[in-house]
Amino acid sequence: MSLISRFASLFRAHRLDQDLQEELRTHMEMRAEDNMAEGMSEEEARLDARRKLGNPAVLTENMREQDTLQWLETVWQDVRYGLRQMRKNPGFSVMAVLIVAIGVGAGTTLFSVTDTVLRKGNGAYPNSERFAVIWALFPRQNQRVYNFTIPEYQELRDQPQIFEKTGILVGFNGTLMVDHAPERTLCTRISVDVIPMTGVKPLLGRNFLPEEDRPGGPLVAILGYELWQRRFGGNPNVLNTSIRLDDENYQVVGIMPPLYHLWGGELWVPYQLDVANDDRANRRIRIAILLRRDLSEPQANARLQELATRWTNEHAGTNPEYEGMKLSFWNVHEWVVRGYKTSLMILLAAVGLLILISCANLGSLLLSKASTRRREMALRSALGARRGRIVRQLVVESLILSFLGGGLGVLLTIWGVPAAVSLVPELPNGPQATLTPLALLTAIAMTVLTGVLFGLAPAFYSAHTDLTTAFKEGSGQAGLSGSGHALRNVLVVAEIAVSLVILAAAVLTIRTFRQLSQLDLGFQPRNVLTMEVTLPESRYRQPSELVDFFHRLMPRLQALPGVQYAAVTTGHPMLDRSVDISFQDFELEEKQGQKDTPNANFRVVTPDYFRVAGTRLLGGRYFNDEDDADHPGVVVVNKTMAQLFWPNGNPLGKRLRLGSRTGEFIADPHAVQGSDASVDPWVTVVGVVDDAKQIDVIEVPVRQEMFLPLMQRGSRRDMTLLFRSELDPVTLTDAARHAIQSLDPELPVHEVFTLDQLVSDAFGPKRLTMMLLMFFGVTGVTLAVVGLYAVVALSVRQRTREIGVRMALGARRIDILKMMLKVGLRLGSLGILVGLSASFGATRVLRSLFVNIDPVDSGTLVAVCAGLGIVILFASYWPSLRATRVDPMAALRQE
Amino acid sequence: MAPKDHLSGTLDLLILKTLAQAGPIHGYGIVLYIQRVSDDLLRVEEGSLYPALHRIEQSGWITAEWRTSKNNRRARYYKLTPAGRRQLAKEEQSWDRVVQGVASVLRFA
Repeated sequence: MSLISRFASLFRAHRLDQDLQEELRTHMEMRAEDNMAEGMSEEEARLDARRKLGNPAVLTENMREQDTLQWLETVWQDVRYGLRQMRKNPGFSVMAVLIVAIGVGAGTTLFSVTDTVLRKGNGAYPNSERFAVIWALFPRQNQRVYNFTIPEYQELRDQPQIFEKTGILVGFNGTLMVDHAPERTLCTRISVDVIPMTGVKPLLGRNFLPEEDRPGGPLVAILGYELWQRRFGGNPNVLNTSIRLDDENYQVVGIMPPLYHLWGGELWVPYQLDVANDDRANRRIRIAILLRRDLSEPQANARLQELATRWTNEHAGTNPEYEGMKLSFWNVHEWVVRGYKTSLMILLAAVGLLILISCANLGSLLLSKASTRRREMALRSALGARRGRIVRQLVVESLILSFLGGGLGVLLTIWGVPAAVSLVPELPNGPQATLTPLALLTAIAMTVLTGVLFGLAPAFYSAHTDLTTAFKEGSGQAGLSGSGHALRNVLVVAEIAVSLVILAAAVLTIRTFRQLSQLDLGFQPRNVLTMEVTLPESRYRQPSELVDFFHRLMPRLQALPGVQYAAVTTGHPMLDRSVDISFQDFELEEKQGQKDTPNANFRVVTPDYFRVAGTRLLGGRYFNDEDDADHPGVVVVNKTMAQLFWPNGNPLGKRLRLGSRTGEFIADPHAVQGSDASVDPWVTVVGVVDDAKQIDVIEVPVRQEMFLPLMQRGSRRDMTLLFRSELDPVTLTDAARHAIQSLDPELPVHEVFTLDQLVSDAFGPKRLTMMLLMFFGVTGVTLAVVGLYAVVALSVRQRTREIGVRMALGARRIDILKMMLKVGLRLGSLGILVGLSASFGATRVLRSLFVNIDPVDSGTLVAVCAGLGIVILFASYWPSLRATRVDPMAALRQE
Repeated sequence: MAPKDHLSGTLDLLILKTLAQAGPIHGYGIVLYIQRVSDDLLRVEEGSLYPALHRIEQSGWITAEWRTSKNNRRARYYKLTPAGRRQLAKEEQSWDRVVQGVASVLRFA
C-alpha cells in the first residue's frame, strides 16, 4: 500500500472499523451455524463462536493501533535515517537548507509585501475596479483638469450609458478640535452617493441622507475608523454627538470600517452642492464615477470622448478652451497603489525565477548526491527493499531538507518584510506589512513542492538503478548515468540563463534609476527642510492677519542659527498635489478682449523662495522686500510659461491681468483667500526662472507656472515653510517650531520633511524595484555559480581515473586544466546564450516601468554577460585546478 | 526484505497458500480450509486470523471485496494479487529451507 493511501487510512479508520466489525460478525454467525449443525444449542453455539474469536471490539482496536504504529514507525525510521544522512554530509545539508531558505525567504517576503500593498485596505473596496475620477485635457491651455464646473457635473451625471453612478469628491484640510486640542485632519466633502459607490457600508451608524446633501442642510460628518480610534478612543457613544470642525459643529452620523481611506481622508462631510449654479468657468468639483459593469476601459473612454466632442461643438464658442478637449478617467485604487503595482509584479516574476533557480540547485545537489548513493540504493534493493520504499525514503530526506530550509526561510521573512518596507518609506500600507496568512500558505506550499519534486526526481533516477551496473561502477564515487548528467547540465544552464535575466534587469534598472536621479529637477533638494502650518480661522479672521503673521515670522526664522534662507509658499513641494490642480486664469495685456483664457499653475511665495529652492534665474530678478502692497503688482514666470505665451519676445515687462474671467483665485474654493478685493489684478513680469518639477518628480511634465509675492496677494491658511541650511536641516526643526510658537503658542507644526526625503519618496517604487532586483540578481548569480561549481567539481571527481590515465600517457597539466575548464565553460556559455535572448524580452517589459529607457540596452547586456562570464570562468577554474593535482599513480590504483 | 521470524510468519504463509489453492474465500472459510486440508492437525487461532489478513492486505499481497455467500450472507472475500503470488513463492522457498535446516539439525542432534 502506498504511503498516501496508508496515510489516508488513518482518516478512514472509522469506515475500516465498520468493515471489520461486519466481517467479524459474519464470521461468528457462520461459526455459530456450524456449531448448531453439530448439535449445540443456539446459546452455546454463540458463546463458543465468541470464545474462539475473542472480543470483536478489542480485536478491532488492536488492529487499528497496530496499523498506525506501523505507519508511524516506518516514517520515523525514514526520518531518522534522513537525519543521519544529513549529519554524515553536513556541508551538503547546510547548502541545501540555505538554498531552500533563500528561495522561500525571498519569495515569501515579497509575496507578503505585495499582498499587503495590493490587497489590504488601501482604498481597495468591493467596487475599486470601477471606481474612478474624471479628468479632462484642454490642449489650448496645455492643461489637464481634475476639477469640473457644476454644469459639467450635471451633464456627466446624466450619462447612464457610461456610468452607473456619479458623485462629488473635494478634499480639504480641516482643523478638528477635540478637548481643546486642534488637529489638522484630511477631510473630504462628498456627495451622498459616493460612499455607496465604493460598496462599503459604515461600521457604525449610517451614510449621509439626501436632505443632508442640499445647500443649507444639517452639518453632519462620518468618521474614519483610525481617526475614531485615535481621537475618540473608539468610543461608540461619539455617534450622534457633535464634533467641532473648522469652528462649526458637526453631528457624527457614521463611522467607517478600518482602512477605509476614501480620497485619502479620515473624515467626510456632505458636499451640499448648489445645483442651480451654472457658472461654466469656475472649476471647483472633482467627479467620482462608478463605471458600468459591462463596459471595458477602452469602451468607456470611447463613449466619454463622444461626449467631449459634443461639448466642444456646443461650448467652444463661448469657452474656447473646450476646443479639442478630451475626457477620460483614472482608477482611484490604482492611483493609491500608484507605480507599485508594476514594480511589485515585476519583482514577483523575479522571485519566481529565483525560486526556480533554488529548486534547480537543490535538484542538482540531490541528483549528484543520488549518484554517490547509487551503491547504497542498489544494496538496499538487493536486500529486498521495494522500490516504493526507497522512493519514500528519498522523498522523506528531501522533505526534511526542504522543511528545515522553509522554516528558516519563514524566519527570514519575519525579519525581511520590515527590511523590505523600510527601503520604501512611501509604500502604501507599508508599516502594516507582515507575514500574511496567504504568504505563509504559499511558503508552505513552496516548501512541500520543492521537497517532493526534488526528492522524486533523483529518487526515480536511483530507483531505476540496474544493480549490476551500479556494482560494476565500483568505488564509492560512481558517476551519473547519461540521463542523469544531461538533467543536471540542463538545470545548470537554466540557472545561469535565469540569473542572467534577473541580473540584466537589475543593472538596467539601476542605470535608469541613476539617470532619473540625475534628472534636472529645477531645484536643489539638498539641505532643505519643509514644514506646514495651518492658521486657524478662529484666531486669524482677516486676510491681513494671515499676511501679518508671516510678515512678523519671517525675520525670526531668518535669524535662526544655521538658516541660510527661509521662505513661505503655498503647496508643499513634491507633497501637495493641489499645486498642479490649482491654477490661475489670466489675460495677457496684448491679447485683451479675446475670449480665450490662458491659465497657469501658481504659487504664492515670499521673496527668498527661489533661493531656498535653488531655482535658477534665467532673466530679470527674484522678488524682494519691496514687492509689497504699496508697490505695483509683480509676477515671476517659469521657462515653459515664457515660451508658451511670449515665444518670440522678451516676457520681462509684459503685463497680465489675473483672474480675467472670474476675478478670483480659484485655487481651493473652500480655503479663505487672503487677497483683498481691492488688490490690483494687473501684474508685471519681472523675472523668468528655470522650470522646476512641481509634483511627482518623474512622470508629470512641467506646466506653465507663475509665482506671486505673498505680501501682494495674501496668504492661504495652509502654508509651507522652507529652510535652506548649511547644516543637517533636520536639526532646525525644534528651533523653527519654537520661533513659530513664540508668535502663536497654539499653532501646530506638521508635515516636517526634508526636501531630499520627499524627492526620494517620489522615487520610492523605482528604488524598491532597483534594490530588490539587485538583491535577487546577486542571489541568483551566487546560486547559479554554486551550481556550476558543483557540476565541474563532480565531473573532476568522476573522471579522476581518466585524468590519471591521460597524465600517465603524457598529458600536461595545462591540457587537463583545459579539458576540465571546457566542461564549465561550455555549460556557462550555453546558459549565457539562452539568458541573453530571454533578456531581450525582459527589458521590453521593463520599458513599461520606466520612461526614457533604451529599448535594448546592448551595452548593459554586454557588460552583464562579461561579468557573468568572468564569474563562470572562476567557478570552473578552481575545481579544474584540482584536476591538475591528481596523482596519476594514486588515481589508477584507486579501485 | 529483512530476515523474518519464520515461525510467526507461518500463518501468513498458510493464508497465502490457502488463497492460492481455494481462490476467493472469506475468513471463516480460511479457518475451515486449513483445518480440513491439515486433517485437523492445524487449527488457526481465530483471534489472530483477522489481524494477519489485515496486515497482508496492507502489504498489497491480497485484496478483499464484499460478496454474497452461497447461503445469502454478506462476507468479505479475499483474493491473491500477483505480488501476493510472488510473495507466496518466496515464502514457500524460505519455508522449505527452514524445514531442511531444522531437519538436518534434528538429524545430527
